[in-house]
Amino acid sequence: MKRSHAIRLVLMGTAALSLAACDDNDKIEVGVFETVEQCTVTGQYSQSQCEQAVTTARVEHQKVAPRFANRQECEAEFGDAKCTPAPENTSAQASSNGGGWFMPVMMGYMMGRMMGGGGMMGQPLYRPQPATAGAAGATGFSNARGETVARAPGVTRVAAATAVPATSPTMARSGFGSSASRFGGTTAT
Amino acid sequence: MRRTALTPRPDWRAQAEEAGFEFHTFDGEPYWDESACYRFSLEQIERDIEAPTQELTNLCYEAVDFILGNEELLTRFAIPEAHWAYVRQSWQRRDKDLYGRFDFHYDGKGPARLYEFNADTPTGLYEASVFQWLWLEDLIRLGTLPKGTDQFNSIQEHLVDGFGAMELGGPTLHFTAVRDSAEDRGTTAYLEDCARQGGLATKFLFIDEIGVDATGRFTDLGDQAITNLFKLYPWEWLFREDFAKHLPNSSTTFYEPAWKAVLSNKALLPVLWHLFKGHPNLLPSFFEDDPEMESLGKEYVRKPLLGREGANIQLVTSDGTRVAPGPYGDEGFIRQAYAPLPGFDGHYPVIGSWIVMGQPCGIGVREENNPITTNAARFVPHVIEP
Repeated sequence: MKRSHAIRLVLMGTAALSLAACDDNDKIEVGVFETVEQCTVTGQYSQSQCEQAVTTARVEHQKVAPRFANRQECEAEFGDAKCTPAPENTSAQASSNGGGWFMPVMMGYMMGRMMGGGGMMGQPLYRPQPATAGAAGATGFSNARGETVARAPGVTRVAAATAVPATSPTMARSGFGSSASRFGGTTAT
Repeated sequence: MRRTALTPRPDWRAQAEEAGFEFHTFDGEPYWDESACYRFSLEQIERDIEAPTQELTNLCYEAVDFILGNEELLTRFAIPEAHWAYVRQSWQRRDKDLYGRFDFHYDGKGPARLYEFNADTPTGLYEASVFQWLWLEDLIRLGTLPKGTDQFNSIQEHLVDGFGAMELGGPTLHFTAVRDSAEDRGTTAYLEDCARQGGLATKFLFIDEIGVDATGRFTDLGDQAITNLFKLYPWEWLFREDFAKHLPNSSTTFYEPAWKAVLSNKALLPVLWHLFKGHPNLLPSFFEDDPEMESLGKEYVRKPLLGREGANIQLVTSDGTRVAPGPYGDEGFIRQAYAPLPGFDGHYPVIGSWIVMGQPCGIGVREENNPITTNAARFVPHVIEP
């Protein structure tokens, strides 16, 4: 036979749409910690898993921490002395007073089993300031996208989408696509 | 090979919409046309189309090596010099390609001959892979076509297997296309569907929604890094747009890879003829400053190096010159021997032969009422006779 044995569509067509929409409600278990010790005392993770997660989170932090155009804007969100220059700043930007990008200090990390199997993921966490000065209690931990993950350290359950690792703040968009309008919209050949 | 008339199924439009085929009608005219079908023998399919598709794929890979090693050719191909290193690296790394479509002159008698290779952004995929297949199963079930009738179309099996074997550098395979084109969106949605069936997590965003982060990585609307991207968007456009400067450091793996830019270019045709002159599946083709061009005689076809859907193609024959309108041609033209589309009762079919992950796996027939194929061509299903 020179043709496919079966045809299935999981996204296209009228019946498939409802299948795609349910996935986002899945929750997964994660650990939220400030230190390796907080992680090991839970008894849920081994010493090496805890260390691996914090190492991964530190590396990710350099890439994915939210970026701000100056120190003031960053500190307004994360608090006094809670911001540092971003690693991609050139030395010229760094030497000029307060120039270049700023990002918050990493205040904790989130770990959990990667979706679809594989190892442990580690993600940096941040602690935004309460919206009003002097408001009681901390706002808790948020990920690099600003989504609140947990109020306090411990093992918790979060929406799977919250735990998607390795996100990076986008600095610009619309850098692709300009030719399409010039040539009449279709790319088909 | 013959063309026979059929009565369209009364409910084919409803079926099309149910199956997600939203571009079955184009500018009020049916694009999917089941008022006829093309019938082939198994020998015609295997000897005349499937084997040459494999053969030409191999010749194209040889041509990529030749072109990337030749700066004069890269200039002729209008690849911006700033991206030569990027294109060469994609080839040296052996970045995998997913799919392509060879367009053939074929009349059932002689060998199939290559009009062009749509190597970078081919469409017409879903209708060949899915709707044509559903149509055949329906007609066998209804008794219109005898049991044992077959089709050269295992495109979906090859796509699902191909995506399943893909090794991603991150959790998600992203898909992108332009806005406002039902055909492009449908083609991308179909490929995304196959990728899901192959076990991959996928996400779609429009081409202008792609962002870039502080370290030069491409990002999606959730600020997730785009590690692997299927783009239904031509390389020659990407190279000339604002974010092109981020390509080398983005560490994004693209499908199709950047080296496809030299195969989707009409300048490939004279290079193939130069390397494999006289090959039965090639038409004589020349650059316009090549004196050998005169060997084409008074009848030939001028094709813009970078053009889409038949736009700006000039047909020069003893009856005069026919020009298809369009915005292309700034990068120059090549000349190809005049091989008029074969006529079947006033219909002019061109065979689109699909290659997926290096394997020929199906055809789609598009036909026109005149000898230049444009985006107004109709898709007509085919069968292999028992």
